[in-house]
Amino acid sequence: MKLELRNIMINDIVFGECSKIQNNQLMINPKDLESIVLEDEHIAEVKFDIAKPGESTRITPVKDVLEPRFKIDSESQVFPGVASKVKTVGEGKTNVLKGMALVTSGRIVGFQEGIIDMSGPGAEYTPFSKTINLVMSAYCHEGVKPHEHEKAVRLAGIKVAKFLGELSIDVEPNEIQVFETLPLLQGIQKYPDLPKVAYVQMLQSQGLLHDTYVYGVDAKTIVPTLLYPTELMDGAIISGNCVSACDKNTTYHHQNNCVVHDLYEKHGKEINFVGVVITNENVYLADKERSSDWTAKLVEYLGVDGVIISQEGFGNPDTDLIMNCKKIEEKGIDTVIITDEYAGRDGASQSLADADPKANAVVTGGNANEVIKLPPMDKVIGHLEYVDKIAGGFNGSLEENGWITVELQAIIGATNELGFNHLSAKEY
Amino acid sequence: MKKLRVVHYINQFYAGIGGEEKADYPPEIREGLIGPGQALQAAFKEEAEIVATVICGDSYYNENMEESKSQILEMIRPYQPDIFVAGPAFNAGRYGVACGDITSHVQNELHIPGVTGMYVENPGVDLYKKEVYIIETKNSAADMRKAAPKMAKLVIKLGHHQEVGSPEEEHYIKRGLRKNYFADKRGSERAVDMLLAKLRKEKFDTEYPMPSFDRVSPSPAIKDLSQSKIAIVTSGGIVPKGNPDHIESSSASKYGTYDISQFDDLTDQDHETAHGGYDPVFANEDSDRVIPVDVLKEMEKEGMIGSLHPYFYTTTGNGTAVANAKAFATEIAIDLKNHGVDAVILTST
Amino acid sequence: MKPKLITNNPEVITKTKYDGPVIEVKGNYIEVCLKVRDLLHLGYPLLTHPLSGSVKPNETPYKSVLVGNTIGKLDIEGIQVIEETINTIKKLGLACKTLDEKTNEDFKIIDADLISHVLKQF
Repeated sequence: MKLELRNIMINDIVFGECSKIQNNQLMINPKDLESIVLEDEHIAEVKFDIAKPGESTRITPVKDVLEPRFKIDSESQVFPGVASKVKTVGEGKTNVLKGMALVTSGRIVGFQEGIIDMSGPGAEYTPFSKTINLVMSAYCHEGVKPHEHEKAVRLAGIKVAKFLGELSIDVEPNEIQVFETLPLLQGIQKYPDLPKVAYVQMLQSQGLLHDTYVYGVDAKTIVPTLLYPTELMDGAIISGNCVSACDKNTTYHHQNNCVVHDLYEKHGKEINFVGVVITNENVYLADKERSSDWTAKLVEYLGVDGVIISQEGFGNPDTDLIMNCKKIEEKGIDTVIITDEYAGRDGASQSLADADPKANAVVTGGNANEVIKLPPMDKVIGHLEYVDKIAGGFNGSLEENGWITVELQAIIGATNELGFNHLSAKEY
Repeated sequence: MKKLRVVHYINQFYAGIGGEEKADYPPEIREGLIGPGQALQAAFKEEAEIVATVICGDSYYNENMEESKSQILEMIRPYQPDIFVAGPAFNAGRYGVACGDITSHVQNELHIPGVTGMYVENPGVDLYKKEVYIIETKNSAADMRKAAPKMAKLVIKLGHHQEVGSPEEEHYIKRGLRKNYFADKRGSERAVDMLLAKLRKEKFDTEYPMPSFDRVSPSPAIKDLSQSKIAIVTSGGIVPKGNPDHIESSSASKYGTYDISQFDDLTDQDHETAHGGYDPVFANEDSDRVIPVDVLKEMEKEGMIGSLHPYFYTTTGNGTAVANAKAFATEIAIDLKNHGVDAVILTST
Repeated sequence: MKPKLITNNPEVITKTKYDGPVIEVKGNYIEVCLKVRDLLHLGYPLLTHPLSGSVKPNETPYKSVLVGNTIGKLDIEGIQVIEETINTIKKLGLACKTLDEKTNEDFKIIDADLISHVLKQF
């Protein structure tokens, strides 16, 4: 499977009379987007804002982040099974609006977190302080239940992202990247001397606000399966995960999966990257056993020498992670796992809820309990009442001068377990 | 910058008072520096001055911890030091425990920062590394020349309330504190590099070492029970009624060794539990429920077991620090061996 | 026999319509775990992870856990899981902030939803 990513650099976003992309500028008529969002009967009102790097702006609570993309030469289309018909993606040409992100904000439940600061100390911890953000704040009708609310905002984000991507249909890219993965046997023949490596991606799949969708299928109902890495780039996986802001994978993270990119970087040179196994993180322990058994079985069947395993979320996924690691190591396959830590505010507590000596190669996204002070921002986008909430909330406190002290776990993507950031932790 | 005032703690040996035979020497304080203080003073140059030295025998400190600590704190107080230094203790176990303990009390009660030094296997390391900066030394005093400058550097930093660097930079033993930092490469790239190193069987450094698993493989099964001496060890907190040694109901700092040779059956008249982590009613009613003395005595009479060791060993398991538990176990194991015990029944609650 | 549902979430029954045995715990998250631990020590197997969801124990006061209803061989792994969970809760602390009604309601809904996907299978 071969995919050409055609990056169109977006250097500016403005509101205007029409929606178009010209000279690397994205112009948006908010009415175009509003009509898409308001198609959903649950949503009463929607607002769009623009937030740029360096501005004194805070976006909160963030539900999801997406990168607008659009396939220009295939029958299949981005976000298959959700915003487009179910047809295998990962092949052909895909336009990408690079340098921007669509950020969706929705106050679905009372305890939601998720901060993006566009400047100041908090900005260093989130990748989305470096993108020009179009922020969609959606408000549902009174009485809409959390299930419906989450779904409405999730789908609205997907549809808007697809619409924005489509604006690029006739735009020439600034840069083209090509990614190719051959069918397994051909791929193995092509690089017979290189170590064969697979990527095991664990998907949060526990229930309301903790779900992920694969081609539209609820990941808690899947058994581990195989994907071409390029399928991820076309939105095969989307996020419905709204909890644990620091270590949830947004749809943007799935589209730009950094493990996939960094494995491709060494593919054909130092390793032979053969593909992706996706698995889930369910509540039911029998599901955990089955999924980790199958994951180990699949990577064994692929005949790989090594595997990178990434995690998503807090707490019980530690158990899935360790099960996956242990069972794959027991097959004689080398593993590296990527996780994050909850070592307490002082860093003195045990970091993970599960452990095993076989997990001897660990990459950490940092201690999510470490605290950071965030200054007040001139502008707050999203749900204003929420800022006070977070300040007086579970993991933070508000000072008289308007600064808030929060744990890193309140910041979107701060301790991402795909390894999206430079943040790490070491023992002092 | 002002010259820092330092108070130094050493044991009877380094003070030139004597070896093991003088280990019960009670605490005293003397003006100025003594013994290893010279090497430290040389490393301080003009930046700090040892104004007084506390001397205490290792046995004295370890056997009278509460008392020694209070006496020593009162001795130090009038000197108003900016910083406290203990040792280094190298591989001397009781000296290490004393150095770690007094440094932590000086920090907590006098609010004066402290530094000590030890060999990594010194039992004081596990007990105090979380609260105290312990400079890593070799296992003998021959390392003093190298240890002194490392200790001096950290003393001066702490004395001036400057930020302390990483364990690698400052040579202190890792304290088990996880701190965030920004690495040069993003996590996924670090993961790919780590996997390549692992595949090539090259050395790599995990970013999170798994907590160490102290798994002990069981001894081979006993061949002839009727010839074996059996002992009871418990973390269920069973003690003679009244808890004569005041074993704590949680986070135990000690264990007890008690004679059961005169008992065929434990009752609520003579035994109870000190454990604060479970409902004690049934254990207090009949302590045999936690340590089966009655049954073992019967087995002894029947000849099913050779004999029951006349003492049992007991502590409370709840909240007890792993380091303490390890220390108890080491001592208990030695005692069991000395008494020719063949097998142990371990009971918990 | 349907598994036992141990919960301190008063709405889990109305929300999931579970008709198996329910042990209602009048207490906090840790007390739910202790009840679960008691059952595990009696030989019942742990069926769901007591640290379910990414909502932290210092956020949500509610937890529902499923334990098998037949006594068998001691579930050592389950006992390890429950102990690690209790450690994690102690590390992060319990939810102690007074919650507004809406947030409180949301926590009940999330807890009920997480367990509902498992209950459906019985």
